[in-house]
This record gives sequence, C-alpha cells and structure tokens, in this order.
Amino acid sequence: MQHRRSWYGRDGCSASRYYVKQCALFTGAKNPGIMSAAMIALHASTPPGTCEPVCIALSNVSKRYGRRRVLTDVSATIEQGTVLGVSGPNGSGKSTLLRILAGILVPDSGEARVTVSGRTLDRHERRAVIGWVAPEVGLYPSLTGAEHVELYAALRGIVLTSEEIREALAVFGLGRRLRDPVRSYSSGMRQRLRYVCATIHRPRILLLDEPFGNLDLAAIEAVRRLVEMHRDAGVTVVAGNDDRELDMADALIHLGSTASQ
Amino acid sequence: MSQAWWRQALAICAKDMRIEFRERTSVTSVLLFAVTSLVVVGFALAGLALTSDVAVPLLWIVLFFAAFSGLAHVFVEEEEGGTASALLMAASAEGVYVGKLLYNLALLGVVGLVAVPLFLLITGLPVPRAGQFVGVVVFGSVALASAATIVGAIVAKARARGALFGALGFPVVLPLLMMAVVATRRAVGADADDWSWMRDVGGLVGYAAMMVAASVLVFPAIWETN
Repeated sequence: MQHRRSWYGRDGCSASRYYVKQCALFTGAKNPGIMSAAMIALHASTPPGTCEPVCIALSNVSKRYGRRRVLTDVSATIEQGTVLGVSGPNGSGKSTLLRILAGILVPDSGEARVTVSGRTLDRHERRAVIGWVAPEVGLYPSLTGAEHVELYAALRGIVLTSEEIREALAVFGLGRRLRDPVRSYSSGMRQRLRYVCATIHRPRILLLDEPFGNLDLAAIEAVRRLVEMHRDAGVTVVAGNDDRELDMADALIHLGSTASQ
Repeated sequence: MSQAWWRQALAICAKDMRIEFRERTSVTSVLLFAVTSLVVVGFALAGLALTSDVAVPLLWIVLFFAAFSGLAHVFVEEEEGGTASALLMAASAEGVYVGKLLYNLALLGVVGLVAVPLFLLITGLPVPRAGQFVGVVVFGSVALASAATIVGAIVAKARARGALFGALGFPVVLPLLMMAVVATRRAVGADADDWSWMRDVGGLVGYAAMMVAASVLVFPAIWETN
C-alpha cells in the first residue's frame, strides 16, 4: 500500500537535515492474532468520519524560551497515513515541536496547521483530534488507573462501562492493576496508563514524545501495534532518539543542536 | 453554557473531591487553621464580652485565610503535578474553571459548617436575624471562593507564587471583606433596618456574580498561558 507524503525542511536552521525512509507498513496487521480483542475494538475499528483526510502543516515555525532559540523555521507537511519521526539532541526542541502541534504552545512565528477534510482546526478543535503522550504528562497518585480512564473519557464526552474501562487498560497490560492507586505503579506502568488516557477518544493524530520511555518489551510491542493500526486512520508524530522509536517512522525530521543558538 | 462545559466541570470537581477525600490535605490544613484561630481567640478572651465590632472581623479573617491557604492551591497542584497540560488537552478552559470553582465552594462550605457554629459558640454573639446572617455568610463565602479560584489560577502560572498570592489577593478581596464585615454586623443586630438584608446580600451576590463572570472571561487566557 502506497502512502503519499510531501515534506520539506529548511537547511541551516533547526530542521537542518532530514530524510525519508521507507518502512514496512502494517507489520502488526500481519499477525492479527497477537492483537487483543480490546485493542481491535479500541483502535482498529474506524470511527465515523475517519475517512476524512487529516493533514498537519508546519510553516516556518520558530520558538524561543527567553533568549534561547529552540526552533527556527521548521517546515513540514505530514499527510494522512504518515508516521513522522522527529530526532535531535537533547534541548533541540523535539518536545517543544510536539507541544506546538498539540496546541499547548504557540510558536513565536510561523504556523502549525491541522486540517481535517480541508478545514483548518483552531487550537481548541485540534485538541479533540489529538492524543498526546509525553513523559511530562502527570497522573494523580491517589486515583486508580480505572479512575484516570474514566476521568479522561468523561472530559472527552465519552461514557464507558466498567467492562470497557477494564478492556482499555488490558490493552496495555494494566487489567489486573486497574483498582490500584497510581502511586503504587512503576514508571513503566504509568507510561502505559498515559497511552490509555491519551487514546481513549480514538484520536486522528498521535503525538508520541519518547514513546518507549520506561516501557518493557511487551509494552513496546503494544505501542508498535498501536502506531501501525493507527497509520491508516490519521497521522502519527514520534519524537525521540531511540532507534527503535524512529524505526516506526517513514519520514524523519532531524532538529539540529541548539547549543550555539 | 453548553452541556459539555457542565460535564467537564462536574468530572473535574468529582476528581478533586475524590483526591481530597483520600488525601485530606487541603481540608485538614484549612480546618486546622480555622479551628485553632477561633479556639486561641476564645481562650485569650475568656471572661471578656466580645462586641460584634471585634467578633465579626475575626470571623471573616478566619474565613479569608482559610480560603487562601487551601482553595488558592488547586491550580498550583495541577501545574506542579504535570496534570495541567493533560487537562488542557482534554477539557475546555470554562469546564476547568467551573469545576475548580465548584470544588472550592464545597471545600469552603465544609469549613463554614465547622467554623461558623464554633465562632458563635466561642464568642456567644447573639444572632437576632439568623436568616440574614446565614445569607451573608453563604454568599460572602461564594464570593470569597470565586476570588480565591481566579487568584489561584493566575498565581499558578507565575514563578514568584508566594509573593503573588498577597499582591493579587489583597486588592481583589479587600472590598469583599469590607462588605461582608458590614453585612454581618448588621445581621447580628447593629445598624439594622428592614431592607438592610437586601442591600447586604445583594451586594455580596453582585460581587460573586461579577467575579465569576469576569473569571469565565479571563480564565481561558490565563489557562492557555505557557
């Protein structure tokens, strides 16, 4: 299956070099038996309207923190069906770029646009179609895993039964710990819970910052399957430096060092 | 106000109440402050008759410090725990503000249920206009909670948080406290006339309505600041 992709970057700036990499698509779908029923229900079934094309366009996006320049004129177009990798040294602006895409940060100049069926979404509309997983996303220590899922589903206007909550958590191996408070979770389990909370509304765009951080092999495999199954439904942006993370991408932006900027 | 607002507000309020029920950090510290202040004053004034001119400000000082020591921290905890950005992604700013306001109202309600009867017991202040007194305390508390919520939201986004609490809270709350003290003094018998309750309670309702309306307008800009 071919996916159209168009992209570009500006040399000499933060997006100093880039390349496109072909990778095998739907590796998870070759082995549908390894997917749990819940995972198929949550992520593989196409929600209404997902045939509408989704596209992200970055146009000369720049961002500073005080006097420190983090991103300079980053441009890219990411079309539906693409998994974009964002690599670069620490402090090069990978997380900042994802936060701009998520609509949490506003670029100092340039523009980050998300369009669905040709209509550009504003920052608030954009958040409804985005699932964002990042190490800095906090959890409530005294709430259980199930209560987290229930909360984020309710905020997204989704009412889940306790069985659906259990199934959602089981996708990432938390089915047996759903009644335990998050303070008793390991860092890997917390990262798994972030995935469940971020994807409960079936987002069209997945923004994954260091997606394999603290995860064991089983959870990494679950994330790979999530990305592969999500590929057709929308756009995924993966930021990190781990080769295993960037292997999922079929296009890559490398953000240059910001030390001298 | 759309249904989505309310659903989000109720979910956030329920979440905060659940956390508070399990951890009891805010309610414990706020109640400890209120009860300790009143008991210490009670001991210090043992045997002395306390006039309403002194007793009424004491009640509002206790409620004010209780509100600002506990209520104003609801947003700081979200920022410091890293959960603010997840809420930002999932909920509208209006839903977050109303949810936090509802939680603060509930918390101040609990404080009032303990502190006000204790205040009346310790001071022995007669309350000839009980309905007016209850109205003033209830709507004064609503106004106080609305002020504490928006000040807490502004402070949570600032770096020098400790200094800002005082700098922002003082000018916002001072007119309210002056209104509340005058209204409460009238309710306990001083300077009362037949229509005083309407002016006093109406003033407090007006302050609370104005504060909530202004907060709903400015909160999205505060909440979206990064």
